[in-house]
Amino acid sequence: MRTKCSLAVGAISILAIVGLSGWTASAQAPAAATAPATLACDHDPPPDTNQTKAPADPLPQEQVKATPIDASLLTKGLPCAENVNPRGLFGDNGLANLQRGFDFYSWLTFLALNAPADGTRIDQAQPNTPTKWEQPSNFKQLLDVMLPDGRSSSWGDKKIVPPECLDQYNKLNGKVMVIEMIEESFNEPFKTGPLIDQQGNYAIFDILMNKSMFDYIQQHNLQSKAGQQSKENASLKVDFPAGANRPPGDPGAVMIKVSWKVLDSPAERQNFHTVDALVLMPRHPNEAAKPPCLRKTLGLIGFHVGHKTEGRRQWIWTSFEHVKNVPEQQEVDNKQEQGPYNFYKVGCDPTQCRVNQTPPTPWEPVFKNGLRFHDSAFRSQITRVVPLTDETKDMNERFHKIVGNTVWKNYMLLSTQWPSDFRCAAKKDDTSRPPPPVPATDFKKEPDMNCAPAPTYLANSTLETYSQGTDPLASSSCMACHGNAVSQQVRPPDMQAEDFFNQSDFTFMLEKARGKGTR
Amino acid sequence: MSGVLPHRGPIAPNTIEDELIGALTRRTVLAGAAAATVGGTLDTPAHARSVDPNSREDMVLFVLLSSALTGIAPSKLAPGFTLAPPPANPPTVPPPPIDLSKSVPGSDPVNVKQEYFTWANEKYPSGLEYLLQLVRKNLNASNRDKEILDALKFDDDAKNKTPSDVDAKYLARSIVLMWYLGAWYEPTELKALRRDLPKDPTRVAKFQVVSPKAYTQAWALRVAQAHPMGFSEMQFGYWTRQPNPLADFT
Repeated sequence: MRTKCSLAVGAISILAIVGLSGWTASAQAPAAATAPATLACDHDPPPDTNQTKAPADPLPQEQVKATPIDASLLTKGLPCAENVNPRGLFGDNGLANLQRGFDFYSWLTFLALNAPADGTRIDQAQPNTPTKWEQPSNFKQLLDVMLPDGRSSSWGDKKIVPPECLDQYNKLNGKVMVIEMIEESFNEPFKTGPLIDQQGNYAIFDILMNKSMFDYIQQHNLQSKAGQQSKENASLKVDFPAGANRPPGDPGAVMIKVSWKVLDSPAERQNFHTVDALVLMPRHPNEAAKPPCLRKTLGLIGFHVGHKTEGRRQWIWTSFEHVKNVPEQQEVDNKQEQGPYNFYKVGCDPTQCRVNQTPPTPWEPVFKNGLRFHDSAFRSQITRVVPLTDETKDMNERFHKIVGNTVWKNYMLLSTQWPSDFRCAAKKDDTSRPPPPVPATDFKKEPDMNCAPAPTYLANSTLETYSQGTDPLASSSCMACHGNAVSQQVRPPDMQAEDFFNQSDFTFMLEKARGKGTR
Repeated sequence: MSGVLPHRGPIAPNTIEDELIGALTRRTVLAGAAAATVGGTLDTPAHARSVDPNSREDMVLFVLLSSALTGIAPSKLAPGFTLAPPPANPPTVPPPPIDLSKSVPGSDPVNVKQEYFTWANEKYPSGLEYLLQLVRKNLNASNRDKEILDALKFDDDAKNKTPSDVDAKYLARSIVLMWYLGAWYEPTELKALRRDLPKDPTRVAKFQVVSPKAYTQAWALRVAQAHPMGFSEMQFGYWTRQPNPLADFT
């Protein structure tokens, strides 16, 4: 609920003392300074129902109740790990009960990561209230870890701003997000193409990691090509720390991938969570000039979280997106669209607006156009191929009620993908010698090292736009894709092939390490 | 399971299909032992009921049928499968009768069993009904799998067998192949193959891949400790290592 303070239009207050060095100050936040809000991890996250867990006897089904989705959940904090139960609202359907538990966990995760950085409540946030995940003290952008020369860094290091953005950055006192675009910032995974909104702008993508991931990378010298290719790392089985629900509470490795929409029109900004940003266009060999650094207001349209836990060493994969990104295909088929949409034009002739097609090449942004696509007439016409389940829609409705009249009611969970074969998911490596350090994930297990992902497929309409569907290995599945991620480690000649592992524990970040390699 | 296939020479041109089947049954594929062939009499149920692929009880019966036919444990074919009541400790003798209404058909994200059940039911509803009745009849038998298999082992021209019995026998074979290969071989095609192969060893069976999902879930490749062409869920670089033990796959 808004307070009188927050309605003081035109009053620009200097906020607090948060590690806001990279971000903009809210124009309408409360004037009183508050303590810095850290991203605490809750080692006793609430389950989604009151049902007991084995070995206790189950409650009779008529006594099983859903955990109330009320305002008390807004301040719970990031779950250190999942708290799920194969028993629940759906009787003996273990899969459905666990899915609901994971979806509940995903919402707690979303609320915790997007809670205001200044410690105020998310149900009182303004569209541009900086969030906890946007604080450099909580998450670092990928390119701030994989530095150009591959050098190591410390978590507390100041942001290295590209020279093209430095003047603007300094004029804004560093209170701005900086996005240095690379190909992955505009071209979707496996180079499947960019996404162009209804205003003709590129959607922009960014990747971040938490301190746990950062520390592991630095500790093992994985932040550089040379480090990964070193002899010392030839025998390393990359195995990021895992979160667990026990005191004092450590979430383990958490990574985020976000998608943004350029909001040139002030009218649009009330419907999105927004950031003030400097966007450095991607360097291009065909462009003689330096890339421009563009000041833009960006609106959040997609939000992926990957969280590694002891119970799910294949990570838990959460995906949210803006409710007005795209219609579901069956809504289009039944002419039940409820536009306007960010990436779909209602009523456009399908022969003119071909659905789910990639834009015409070339795909690279052109400096003189800024973030507008070169074909000024083209707009992506996207539908959601696999609809949300009724259970997920129900959970979204319940959580929307507690975030008040804030922009956060405009974000919905698509689903949570999780490894459903529990014995497989928790399997440790107990055969390697010497025994590997904790978490000691077993990376050799066969036949399915992803441990039966549920649901089998999951795609975000902004982040996996062109690989939606249900075709095995062709359609988007977080784990099926990330399970194939590898590092730049190299097998030395004196090492047997079967002893060499260059899997990178479900993250593609390590392939982005820079600097001069040894190979 | 030893995981060792029996050594076999080339197939003699005049070997009839039942002899082939006798040498390389689903049991020998997994256990490395030859199965005894015993004929049996199957009473046709007096009152047939139609099969419902959305019925929990019918799905439990289908999984038990599939397990008996393929030699693969029900919990592998249908993760989460449990029969009710659960076994007591110490076990009671005789064990209590299975309660189908409380048994759990399993729930897994791939759920290929639903696809197979629906497929077989759409193609041969009365034949499938026959087979599920066979399972129901032997539900509480001490060696349920053997009773089911024995009831399906007979010559096509056995005098005490009806055309429905013969059709069900070939449908059972189609179901085995569906689980192992992800492909559907029409029962009539299998019957024709039996007739034609001795005369024409080059005769190739016609089949239809059930679906992309079925292609990826074929058990033959798991038994081979491998994966279907174009689809693998193994760790990148697995080809540099010996495969994991068979027990990990099956």
